[in-house]
Amino acid sequence: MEKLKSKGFILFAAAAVLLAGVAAAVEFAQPTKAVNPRLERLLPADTVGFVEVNDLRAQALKVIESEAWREFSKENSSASSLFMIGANHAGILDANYAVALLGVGSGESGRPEPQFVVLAQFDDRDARRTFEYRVLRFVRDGMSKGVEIKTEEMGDARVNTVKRLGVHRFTYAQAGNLLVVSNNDAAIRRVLEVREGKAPSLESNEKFKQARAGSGAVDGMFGFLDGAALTAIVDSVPAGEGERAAERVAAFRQLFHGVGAASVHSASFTSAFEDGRVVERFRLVAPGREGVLATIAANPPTEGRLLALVPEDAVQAFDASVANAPQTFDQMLALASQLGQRPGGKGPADALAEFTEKTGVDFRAEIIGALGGEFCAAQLPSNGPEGGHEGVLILNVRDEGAFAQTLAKFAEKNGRETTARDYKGVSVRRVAGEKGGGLEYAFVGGAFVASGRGSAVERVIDTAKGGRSLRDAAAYQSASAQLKAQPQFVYFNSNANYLNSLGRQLQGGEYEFKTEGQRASLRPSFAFGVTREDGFYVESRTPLGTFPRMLTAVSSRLGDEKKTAAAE
Amino acid sequence: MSKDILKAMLWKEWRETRLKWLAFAAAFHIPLVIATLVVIFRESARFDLYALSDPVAEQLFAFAIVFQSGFLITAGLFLLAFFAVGSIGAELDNQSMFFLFERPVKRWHVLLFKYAVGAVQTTTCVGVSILTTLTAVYLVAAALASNVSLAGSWGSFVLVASNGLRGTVWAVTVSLMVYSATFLFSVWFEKWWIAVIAGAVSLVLMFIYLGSYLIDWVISRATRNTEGESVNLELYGQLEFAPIFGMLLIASGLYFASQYVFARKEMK
Repeated sequence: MEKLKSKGFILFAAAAVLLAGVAAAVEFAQPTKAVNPRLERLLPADTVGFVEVNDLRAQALKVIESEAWREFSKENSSASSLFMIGANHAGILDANYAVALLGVGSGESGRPEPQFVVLAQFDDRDARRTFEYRVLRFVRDGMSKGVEIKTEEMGDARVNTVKRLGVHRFTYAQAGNLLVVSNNDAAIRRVLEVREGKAPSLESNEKFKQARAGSGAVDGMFGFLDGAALTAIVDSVPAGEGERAAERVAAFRQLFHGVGAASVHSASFTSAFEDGRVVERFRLVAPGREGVLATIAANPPTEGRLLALVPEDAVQAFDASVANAPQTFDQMLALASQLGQRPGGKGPADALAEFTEKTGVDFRAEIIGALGGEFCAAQLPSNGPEGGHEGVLILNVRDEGAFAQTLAKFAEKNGRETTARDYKGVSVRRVAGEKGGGLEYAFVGGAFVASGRGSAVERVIDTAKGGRSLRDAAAYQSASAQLKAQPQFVYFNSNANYLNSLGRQLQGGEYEFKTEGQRASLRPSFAFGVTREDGFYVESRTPLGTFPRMLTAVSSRLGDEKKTAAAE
Repeated sequence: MSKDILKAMLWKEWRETRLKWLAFAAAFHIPLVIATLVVIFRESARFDLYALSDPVAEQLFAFAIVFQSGFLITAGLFLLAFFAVGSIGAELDNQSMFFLFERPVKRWHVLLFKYAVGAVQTTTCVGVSILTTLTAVYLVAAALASNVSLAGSWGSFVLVASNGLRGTVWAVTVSLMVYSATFLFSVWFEKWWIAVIAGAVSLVLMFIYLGSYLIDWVISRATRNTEGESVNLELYGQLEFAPIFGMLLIASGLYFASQYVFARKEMK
């Protein structure tokens, strides 16, 4: 007891507290590898493409903090917590991950094969071992008998080649907290050479630097594709053995160039949390675009006029400019004709002729050719007793009469009954379908409106006659305020049904989530795509993006593996 | 013995032991300190805490009382022995006891007061620590977890706290028994370190013969038949008359043994 009162004891206790404080400060001040992500430093400079997920734990925390997850947790409080805690203990969160295509190399048999690598950089050795135990071991066990592992040292890395019954399956290397898995030995070696500084990394690739700088985010997910490297691979792929293989390769090469993929300089993708929701940005750099890509880029922006016909309470709506649809169709048809033509076989022209013969309609001239400048598809909540949703299609058409004639011709040729009724001064026609179904349509303000349910057409007519439209809705206006230029397309989702669909996404594991009857007032999702001088840009803002799906996929797979192992 | 003497003796005991009592109360929250360090230094623990929601918080609360009870009936008993050992021996060793004998009180009154004050302090610290730990966990969870609120988890807190009272009964009974044993050694041996060794040896012996039963009565049942959850509250600290009464009987016996030794002790 006297010892407790002594100065020495007090000093010792104070020193212990100070030491703990310093240790805590060091722990928090020094970023771990997983929160300091730059996996591109480990990939060769000529990497074709890669997608990385940075600091999965931080992303999972952002999911928990998000507006959508908070709402979801109110309805699924136990399951949502247990789902996240389960993911936490699956041993997968303390890392950055990347999947990359390094190029095409020779396989074991000497034949060319793509070199894919999966990189996982862990916070510490414990995290890496957990992952190895959970994944690699299960993969090896999964291949059961005849598995042979050859290990060799390369610098400070240990390279393990896994074969089953003498056939190479995969190779993985461990170096510190890094784990590299690949289908190809050479790919592993290339990564290790970059790691040791013997080869330049992707960080030194100019296109990559531009894409990274333009992404505006280092958080969340990032993807990059080097267009020139991909084109080089496509152009250099050997024809293969046999005439048919050579034909296929040549056809693919032709398609690749025809759609204009060869003119793509680079493509990048980011997905990160901003303001409690996920912003995803896709950027395609193709200043000298060619082929179908050039035709699509020349498409004028959508004016969004058809959105003025969509009722205010629409669950979702997609509106796009289709002014260049006939040219795009012609180009695609020409490409398909070149590719699909086989002696004695049916080409696309034959298929179109067959369509005309069966329906009495010339698809190119009377459907594609009749299209105006804009296309819109919307989903409306059903007011009927059956509930659910009803879809409606709204199209600008060049000539109402001609389009109506085309539909009448189709009905007559196929022996379908056609009826008409009046709704608020607008003629609503019905083409009977099979099993009691059918198509109801009307022309409203120069637009063709069609739906499987007459009520949806009526609601569009109501909107055209002065009802509030989606374009007038505060939610749409607030969501579309982010538009930076005249878009090629816009997509809106009220997210009224988001929690139910999130429940369905997460369903299937060991936790039960509600998939019906959940309603929450989340901010709507909005996406748009614009053509820029140097290419295309697509941006979307959604409640959670692809993160829940990714977490579910990873944790449930490991969960299944765990169960399998436990059963064994 | 007059009322004034009674008050004076209580006051003297309180003055002498209040800091010790405070240190004792703090020491009995060591599991909270451990939990705090784990949360600070382990990202995965922080994540678990952050991911909690109101219904799942009940599991955390249940885990907290089981962990605290586990500490109280194992390492906590050694702490108790360490703190209780200075009850008499130190005053005999430094001869301050003779000041008391100058007062108009009987020798057994002195020992009774010391035993009663120490026993009340000890059992209060031990018993209350389960509820204070639970309260601290409740407040921390509401402050840090994204989907836990004070109002939302109140029901879980009350449910776990009411079940925790059974654990309190066990912890108080066991601690009273150990306190009584250590008190006896404190009377018996004037040197405090001899009493500490004697207390530790007797505790080890108690664990050898009684430990597994004790752990089973208080926590094991609750963590064995969990039906998919981490703790089955219904099975936590189920009250059993025979062992509780037995331990109280032993505590009384040890107290009377202390009186017996004290009455016959030769003090110079």
